[in-house]
Amino acid sequence: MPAPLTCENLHFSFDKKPLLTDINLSFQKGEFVGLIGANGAGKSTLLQLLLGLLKTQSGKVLLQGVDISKIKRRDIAKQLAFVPQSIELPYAFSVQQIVAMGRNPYLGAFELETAFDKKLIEEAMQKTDIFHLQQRLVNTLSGGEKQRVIIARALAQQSPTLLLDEPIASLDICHQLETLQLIKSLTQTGKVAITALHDLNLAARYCDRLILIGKRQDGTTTIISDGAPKQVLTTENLKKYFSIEANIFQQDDKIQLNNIYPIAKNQKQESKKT
Amino acid sequence: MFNNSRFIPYIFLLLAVLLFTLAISSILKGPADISGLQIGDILKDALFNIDNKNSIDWQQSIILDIRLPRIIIAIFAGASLALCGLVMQGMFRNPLASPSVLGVSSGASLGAVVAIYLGASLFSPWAIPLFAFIGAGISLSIVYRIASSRGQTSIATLLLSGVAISALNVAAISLLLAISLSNWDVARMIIYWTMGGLDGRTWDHVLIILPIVLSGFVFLLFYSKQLDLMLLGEQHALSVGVDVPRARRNLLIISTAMVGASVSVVGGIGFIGLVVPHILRLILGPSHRYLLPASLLGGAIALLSADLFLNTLFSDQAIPLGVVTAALGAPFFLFLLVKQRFATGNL
Repeated sequence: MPAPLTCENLHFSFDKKPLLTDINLSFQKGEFVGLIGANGAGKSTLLQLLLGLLKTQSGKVLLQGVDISKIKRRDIAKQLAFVPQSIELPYAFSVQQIVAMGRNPYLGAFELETAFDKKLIEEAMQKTDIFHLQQRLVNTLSGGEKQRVIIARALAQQSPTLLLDEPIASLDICHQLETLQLIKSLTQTGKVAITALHDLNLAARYCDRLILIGKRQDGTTTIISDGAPKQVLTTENLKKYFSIEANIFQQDDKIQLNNIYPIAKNQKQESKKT
Repeated sequence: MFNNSRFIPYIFLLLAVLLFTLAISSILKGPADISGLQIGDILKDALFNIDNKNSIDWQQSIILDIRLPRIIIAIFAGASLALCGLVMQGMFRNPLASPSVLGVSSGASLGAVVAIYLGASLFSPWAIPLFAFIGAGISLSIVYRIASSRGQTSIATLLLSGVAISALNVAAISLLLAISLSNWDVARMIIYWTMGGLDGRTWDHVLIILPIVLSGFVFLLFYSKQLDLMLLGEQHALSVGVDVPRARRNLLIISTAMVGASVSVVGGIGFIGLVVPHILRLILGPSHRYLLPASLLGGAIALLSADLFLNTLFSDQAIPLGVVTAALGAPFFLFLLVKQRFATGNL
């Protein structure tokens, strides 16, 4: 059986400026993958390429072995669910209505939700702790609540693969942990989750695999490192691609970063002194 | 707003009753004095094809050939403008979008004037709607390109491009009129057409507007779910399976056809497309499942009541219909603009 999601030799440029080159990836069932990299490294771009939202200049994305550019959006939506980075919900839909939109790929233009759809919608709301908000209007919710509504919508979509663009950026620490725990438990039931993350410690703690995106020596952006957190988060990579210095503690298979400092700032101060 | 799905059937009932009442009042109202009973007989005769000679011929022709087509045209022109406004507001995710604000109506007017100027309107009654469709299509696709070139554009860009295109269209209409003044027949037809309104409209006009608006409405119903999803943004819609470029293209074609049909029959009537969907959204919420049929009824009510208002209070003066809708709509537009500015802090 082909992998749920792979990509071969992806190249993407915008305004003739190459943004991503030589991207070869394969994602397996049950993986919780973290995409890491500095701001503007291309994490969001890669997610949008994987979703087929952006067209690649060369190379291709394969969904269950089929070229994504040849699949209808409705059928893509049954395989891939997406949680975008910025969510504006200025319209007065109820929470329940937004989550129900996740069932759209399965319903015709005039079809109403069946009892089965309603059950999935309810489950998705319970898992994301928004069940009590279901009759509230989304334009009255806080940023974190909106984020959970969109995650619930992606869950209701029942796709084997989840793509998330910094899903915890606007959440408080408790909901950050709960959300990552939820994604983790979903991957344990066989789903694939590919998540752009900024917090390296949380990434190291929850993800099975990290993909570091950064600039190579020749100036092109590509995958620098791909593997278990302890292989990717090395002192050298942190210095080179995040401009930070940190103590890396390893305990069993897990690692943790302590005493994190930005390098560039220190160097500037030092150069002032000299 | 409050959660009001329970009231939705009653709101629709209210709208339907209102429209029916307005239609009845409109058929009773006119310079000629014809009683309600006579009108009832005339309509019955026409419907069931009986010939019982209870009514006089001139009364029959006033009701059947003047008032009835006028009412039907008012209903469908108003419905078309409100539906197009609703679709544009959804597609551009912008409460200030509407056919007249975005320059689509003036584009359709320019197309119609070109058709008259070239003499094409003499050959076929479909020439004016066809040219109006082309003019509206060109204007809308230019605005659409500008508004969607890089993701979401600001309200200012969208409105300014609409203003610029409107100005260009109006200038071109004036130019054509100035050129054609040497040929008085053509100039007279252009002037007569640009006055717009519902006076002197016949069953030929009904045949143009009714099929296009009705079929457009049915097509739009198929997009009600996709319009909901597109309200939340392109990425959101794509990720739950909407083929956004395709849906947008089809929606643009449908709304252009509807604007073209209504403008070619009644001329540019502003602000119905802006105000009606907005008020209905406040009452019914953002679901297009309800907003589409409600806009059909609401737009018809708006135009029919504006016409009835003019016929009742200013029956002696020939005040264009657009004056009434603009007098009510323009302050509302300004109110929205100011509110938007306070809500977002910028434009």
